Amino acid sequence: MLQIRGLDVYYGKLHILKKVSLHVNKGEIVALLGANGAGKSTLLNTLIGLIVNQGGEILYQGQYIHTLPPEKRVALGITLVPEGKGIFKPLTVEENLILGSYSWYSFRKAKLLKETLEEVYTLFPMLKIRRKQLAGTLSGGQQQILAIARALMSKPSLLLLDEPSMGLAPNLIKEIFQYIQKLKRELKLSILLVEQNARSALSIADRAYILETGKILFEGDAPTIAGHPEVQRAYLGRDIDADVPL
Amino acid sequence: MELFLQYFFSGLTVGAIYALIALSFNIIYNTTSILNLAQGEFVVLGGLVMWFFLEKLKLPYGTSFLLSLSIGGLVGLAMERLTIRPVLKTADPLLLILITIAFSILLRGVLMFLFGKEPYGYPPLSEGEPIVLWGAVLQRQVIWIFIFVILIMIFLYVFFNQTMFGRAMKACAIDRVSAKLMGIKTTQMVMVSFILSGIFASLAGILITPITFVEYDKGPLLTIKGFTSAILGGLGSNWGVMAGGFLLGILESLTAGYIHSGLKDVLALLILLTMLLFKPAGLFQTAEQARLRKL
Repeated sequence: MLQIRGLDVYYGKLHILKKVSLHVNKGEIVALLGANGAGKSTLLNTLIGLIVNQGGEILYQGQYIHTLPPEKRVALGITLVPEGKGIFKPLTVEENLILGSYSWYSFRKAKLLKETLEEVYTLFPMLKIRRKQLAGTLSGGQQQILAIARALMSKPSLLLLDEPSMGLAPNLIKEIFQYIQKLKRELKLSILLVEQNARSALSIADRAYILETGKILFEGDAPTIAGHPEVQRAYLGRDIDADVPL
Repeated sequence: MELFLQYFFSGLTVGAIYALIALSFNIIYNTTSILNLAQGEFVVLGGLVMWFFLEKLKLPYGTSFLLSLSIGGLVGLAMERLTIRPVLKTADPLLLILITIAFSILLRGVLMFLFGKEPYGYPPLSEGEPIVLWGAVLQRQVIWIFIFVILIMIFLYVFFNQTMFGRAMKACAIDRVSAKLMGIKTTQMVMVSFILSGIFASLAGILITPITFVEYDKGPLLTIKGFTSAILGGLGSNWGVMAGGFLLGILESLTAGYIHSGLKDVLALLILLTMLLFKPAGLFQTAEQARLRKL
């Protein structure tokens, strides 16, 4: 469904992504792991069109999209939940969700908007209770759920998640990852998940890529990647807590 | 008491106009974080163009009114397309503000070229004796101005809270990158904000001209008054800048009445300086709110 071939991205003279190729099949969760500054967020921002790639191509559902502006890519069904959530804090929870439907909304689709809103509320009942609350007053975990729910409002087929676990307590991280699995199972979404929290990400992913200083280092099935000694040492901290089961 | 009321009413009248100008400032500030210092020229444009349609071409009042508003909107659109759009992505806000000053000089020049230096006026919306209220005289046009300000407040409320487009503009004001991620075309929002701003400023001109007359070089002072109102009420919040407009109008009118009419413009500048020095976020919001809460 998504195929990236030889992607090159520069910030000025800095070569951030070096000939990166990866693909996401329909209905699978792909984890993109790597340390700080490896270029993970840059890759997602390039996929959604906030950053323009200087080389390579992005193929989505058989269509080249790397020349399209962000709004066209969103309309095609790609949605990014950015790092730091990017919710509109001064607006209410419901307004945030409604804005999520901007890409397909028209006056005649007001009814569909109501239905979609209800579907999302059934998925995340917490948001329905707090729908009149200002989004900025939600806790960190709730804001992350809101950000994901808002992304669902755009009716995406490919969801890009940038560090959904960032800044959250361990029990909340678990909850968020359960939600992500649920999205794959129930909505048949394809998900590209960028994470520093490699352990959690690998536990729900089908396949994984390791990105290091702008290059794909390893790729493979999640269990293979998790078992790779180099990955264990660098990303899963096996040297330090070797007896903790994965 | 009658005297006070009289000053108060005339303060409300100018205040309503300042409120409209401040609002035009605000709409553009919110989507682009630049100040359009050509705002006063748009007010003058509205008055002069209305005169042209009404007195020169002898068109009916309603037609002239709508045509003048459209011209205001179109000039706003032209300004965005020709001077802001090409550099919006690369230029920093200071440069963009300088561009708006350049545009204001250009617009003033064109207005002088087209209309000359004489003051222009035309009859108010409805003829008739002024209304006497508790001993103070209230012109009928003033009632119209209030009606329009209330209509605009309702329009803004509905637009920003009930329509998808208005919400998208709010989103764009709060966080431009996130707005893009929602599939919102932010450049389109900037364009609409310039059009709306042009319309509101021209409306101010159309409404005030029957009371005060208008000539080509009235713009800069109106810009300063509108800007002062916006700062007084807190740039960023529509309700705040409206309140700021009325407040400045009333204060000015009281100063002119009780102290000296020459102090009127001094007061505005004094308020502007004091606010910028001590409370740049405005009277009605904290600095924190100003950062967070827009519109």
